Amino acid sequence: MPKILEVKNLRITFPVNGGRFAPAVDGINFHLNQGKVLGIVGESGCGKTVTALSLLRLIEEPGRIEEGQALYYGTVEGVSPPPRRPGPQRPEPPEGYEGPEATPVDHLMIEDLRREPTAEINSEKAPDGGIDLFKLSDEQMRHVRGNNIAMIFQEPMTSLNPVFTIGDQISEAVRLHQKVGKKEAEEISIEMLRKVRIPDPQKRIHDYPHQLSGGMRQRVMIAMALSCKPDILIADEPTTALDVTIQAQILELIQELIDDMHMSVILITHDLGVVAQVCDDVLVMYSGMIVERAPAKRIFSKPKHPYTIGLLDSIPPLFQDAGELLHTIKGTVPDLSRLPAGCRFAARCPRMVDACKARVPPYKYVGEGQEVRCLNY
Amino acid sequence: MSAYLLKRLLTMIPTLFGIMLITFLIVRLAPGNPVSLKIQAAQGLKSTALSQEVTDQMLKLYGLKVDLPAGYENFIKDKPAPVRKALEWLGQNTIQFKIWLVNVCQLNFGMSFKDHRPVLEKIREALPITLTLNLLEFLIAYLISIPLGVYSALGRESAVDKGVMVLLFILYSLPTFWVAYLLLMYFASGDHLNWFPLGGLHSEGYETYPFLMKIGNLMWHLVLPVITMVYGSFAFITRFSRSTMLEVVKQDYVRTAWAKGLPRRQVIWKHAFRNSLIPQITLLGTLLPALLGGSVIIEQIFSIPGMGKLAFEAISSRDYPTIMAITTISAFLTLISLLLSDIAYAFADPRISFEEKQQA
Repeated sequence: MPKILEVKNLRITFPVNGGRFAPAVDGINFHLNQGKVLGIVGESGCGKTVTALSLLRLIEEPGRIEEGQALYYGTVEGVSPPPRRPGPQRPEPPEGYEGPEATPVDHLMIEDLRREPTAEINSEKAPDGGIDLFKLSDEQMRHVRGNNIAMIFQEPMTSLNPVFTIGDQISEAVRLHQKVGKKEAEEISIEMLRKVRIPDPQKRIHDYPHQLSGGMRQRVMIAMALSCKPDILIADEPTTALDVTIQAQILELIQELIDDMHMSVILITHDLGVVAQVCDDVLVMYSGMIVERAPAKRIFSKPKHPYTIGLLDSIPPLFQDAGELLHTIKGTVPDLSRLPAGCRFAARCPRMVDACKARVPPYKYVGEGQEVRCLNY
Repeated sequence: MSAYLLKRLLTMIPTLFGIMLITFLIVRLAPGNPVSLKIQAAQGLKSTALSQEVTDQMLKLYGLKVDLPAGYENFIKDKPAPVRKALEWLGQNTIQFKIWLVNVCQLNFGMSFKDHRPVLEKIREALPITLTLNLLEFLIAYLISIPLGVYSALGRESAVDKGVMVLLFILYSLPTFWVAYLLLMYFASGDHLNWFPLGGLHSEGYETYPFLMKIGNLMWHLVLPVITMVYGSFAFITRFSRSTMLEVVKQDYVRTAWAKGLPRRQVIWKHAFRNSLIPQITLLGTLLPALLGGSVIIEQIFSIPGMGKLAFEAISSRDYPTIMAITTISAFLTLISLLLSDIAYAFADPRISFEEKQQA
């Protein structure tokens, strides 16, 4: 299973009062496999969205990418791919092998590198000839956006420009990246709208966003994102702002289009139901760190990290006696400007041991492609 | 659209009526009247010993005293003095207001008390002058301020942004009359530079100039007044343009535009700028009436015979017909310009529609 994107030791900080910096994302490592859907779950403020935005280098000032690499294994217009590093290549996993984390090599890749980064990770050269998105020029990055990596945002109501027709907004990206004429771009736009099942696309392209419902607008956003056939689609809570029946339709649509267009997807959500429905692999983030990663099925059948377990227990059961309280995780998320030295979940953790407060637990491989940052394993 | 326009035009009638009534009352309630001013001017300030008869005659001549209907006269005759006075005032002004209203509806604004010329003619002379001056000011102020505001917003908190803001604040704080006199002193008097004329609109022999030279001569006269008018608007419009732009670049759709990979120029000047113009139209709607009003101070200092000067002179000589005509015409044009800015909204923002549109 070839990788399409690999993020190494990504650290993103925001300045807080007194000239200090709060790490919104604190040294995370993950990769996205070709044609797979990677889910990133976690509560608000855990760094999911910032991570996604950083891949397009769209983090708003004053936040910045402090260190790390985002290696993209594809071709970017105007960038010659760096030569492959001489030496032994990473062996391709055998056919039919599920879950790249299962190989010990992969496991080593995601060791906790935050405290003591190794020379290899910090070196300028990408090991497998990937293009480091963080090192591209602004102009090169422009070609990546929309063309190689596209993004769908959470709020379909505000993510479309109110003063231009949806046809304008879709064909704008098409004309930019595919170098086609106005007429052709319009045809592609109509085709895309048909693909996301908007009825009467010839007429709809002349509509303004306010003339469409929330679900329709999200379909337009998807059409816009997919119009240039990107390798990677980042969907940041694409269904959160929609009502439940529309959510299901949109998810189904995304799923179908992914299969159809052979895209790789990073799906950010706080809805575990969404994860169960579409994701292949899952990262669980807490307070800027990845605390657990596993194939989606494992997360539900054998969650390991107390936080993941807490999240799953917090899903309201279908049958519950009236008056019985919903399960919650006690306590609050730590303040990013005053992070504890040890495990960030320690203060809320029911299985906390003294050692948890001493240092951030390293990743522990627990089999079946599952890794967890917890001293209990 | 046409149904909307008709509705708007019809609602203008009561508004205009209200404005006319209030104008009439304010003018009539103001102390002093044109007759006593005229008598004072004719006889020197000290003498007020003119018989009531002469005064009454003059009042009647100017239409400031009319014969009350006989029935009404009888009705108020035997009331106690203060009540009778009040009722007489009420009767007089009701009848005079009615006469004035009927005349205005026939576009007859009467004669000026001051020089006995038709008021409309005086306004027709003054209005184009003020309009030219203000349009120039608007154009220059907007052409400079909007880009300045946008660039200031994009480089927010940078040294340039802070510098521009401080400079504009200083300009905004300088009183107009002071700047006007400084400009006159340094650029129009013999003592320093003698680049521009002291006042007025034309040089002598203007009528004989060819067309282009006429324009040039007019512009030459307008340089100092326009500078005086424009520098204060910079701060206002630039700040407004900056803050709307700052608001807009934070919007989700601007992030979408970046995420599409659009070049910076397109993100800013297409996606963000177009949206930042919508609040500007509101501002324009409130500024349009000022186009017609004219600035009393500037027109006075630079001796420009515009609306401001006309209004100022009319007020100081209690020239009732002129005051009321200027107010009524300005009110009417203000209502029209507000309507225009509402229509401009619909063009700038597709979400605003005047028609009952069928929802898709």
